[in-house]
Amino acid sequence: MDKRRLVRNAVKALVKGVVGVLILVTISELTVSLAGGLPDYDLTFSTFALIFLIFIVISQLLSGTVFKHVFNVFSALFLVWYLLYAFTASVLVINMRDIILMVNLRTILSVIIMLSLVGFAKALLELVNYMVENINAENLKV
Amino acid sequence: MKIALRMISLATTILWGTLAIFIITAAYSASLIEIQFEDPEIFLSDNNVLAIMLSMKINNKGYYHIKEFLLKTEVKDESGIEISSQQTYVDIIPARRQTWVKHNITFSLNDLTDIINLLFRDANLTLTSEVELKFTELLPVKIYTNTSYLWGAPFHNFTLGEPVFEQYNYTYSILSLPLNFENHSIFNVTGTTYLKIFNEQDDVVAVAKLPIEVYSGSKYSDILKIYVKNTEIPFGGRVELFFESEPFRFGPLVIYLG
Repeated sequence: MDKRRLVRNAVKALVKGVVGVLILVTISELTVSLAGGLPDYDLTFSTFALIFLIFIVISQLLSGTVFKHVFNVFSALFLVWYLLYAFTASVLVINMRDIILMVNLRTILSVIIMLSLVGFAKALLELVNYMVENINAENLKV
Repeated sequence: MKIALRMISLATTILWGTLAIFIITAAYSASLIEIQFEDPEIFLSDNNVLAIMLSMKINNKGYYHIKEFLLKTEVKDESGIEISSQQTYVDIIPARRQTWVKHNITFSLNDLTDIINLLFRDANLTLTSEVELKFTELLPVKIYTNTSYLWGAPFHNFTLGEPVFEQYNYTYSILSLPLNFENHSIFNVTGTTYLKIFNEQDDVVAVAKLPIEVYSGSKYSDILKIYVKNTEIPFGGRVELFFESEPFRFGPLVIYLG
């Protein structure tokens, strides 16, 4: 990978990272009033946000190489696993003194998991496409 | 293949964006919902039903309707016996509108007489409320609350003193019976006390009827008096007391003489 492309990818990764942080902070601010009562909400959200940002940055840094596509497949799978792990019961239960609030997230989670699976399929197709395009040319970039 | 992949990318980006906007606006809308409770209104209807009307103003300032709003309340006494169970259903609480929800918790006072302890003893009643609703069509929400509140008995600390005979004149004597109680309830006690005196042979020798009116939160302390012929004073009989009012009746409370 030449230096110019590496720098370009690093700048893009930085910009995407900053935009990602801004979006996640906005989501956090808007949802904290509703979900702030959740046990370990901050920790869960921060962990997810951090992993999400690392994925964006790494994916951008590896842009133009086969590793980007391999990494994208892995990150799509990780996202599906994380959602299934974090919302096992698919019902959000918030205890506020004498009040118990239960939100059934099944529909939303189904949509998110479906989209994540589409993302996984897309990443897999991109990997196949990249390999088909480059293997004949014997210039598979690493 | 590249075009197909780009189309998939575009479609998923649009869908993720739409989902993100939906989640953000839904969370923001939920934080904009205001619920205000008015002071409960209490009615005693002609058919002896005590109704506590809870009015709440739901100000849905958010962007989404609240649908299929169902409020269930259940009142139980200390031993878990259900006293009242009511439901209120509101089909839709539109976005950017205020909606009044009126929920009645009703008690049949005739039924309360069956739960006789509630007439004479203050009790901690448990009110269980459950709200079910659909927020933004996609998010079914359930809210549970469990609160206890003090039931004020209308005849709290009801005590009948020792009956005392006192000669009134050559023909009659007076039987004096001290009666005390405190009306801790939220309604006035208005009714009639009936006294019956029985002799050893179980014959009624005297009857008296005394009106009683005790306001909510006040004490009643009086001496009930009944005239009995000197020749019929029972030394081994009994006194029976009944109370009868519009909402409820109880009795007999028996005091043995001699």
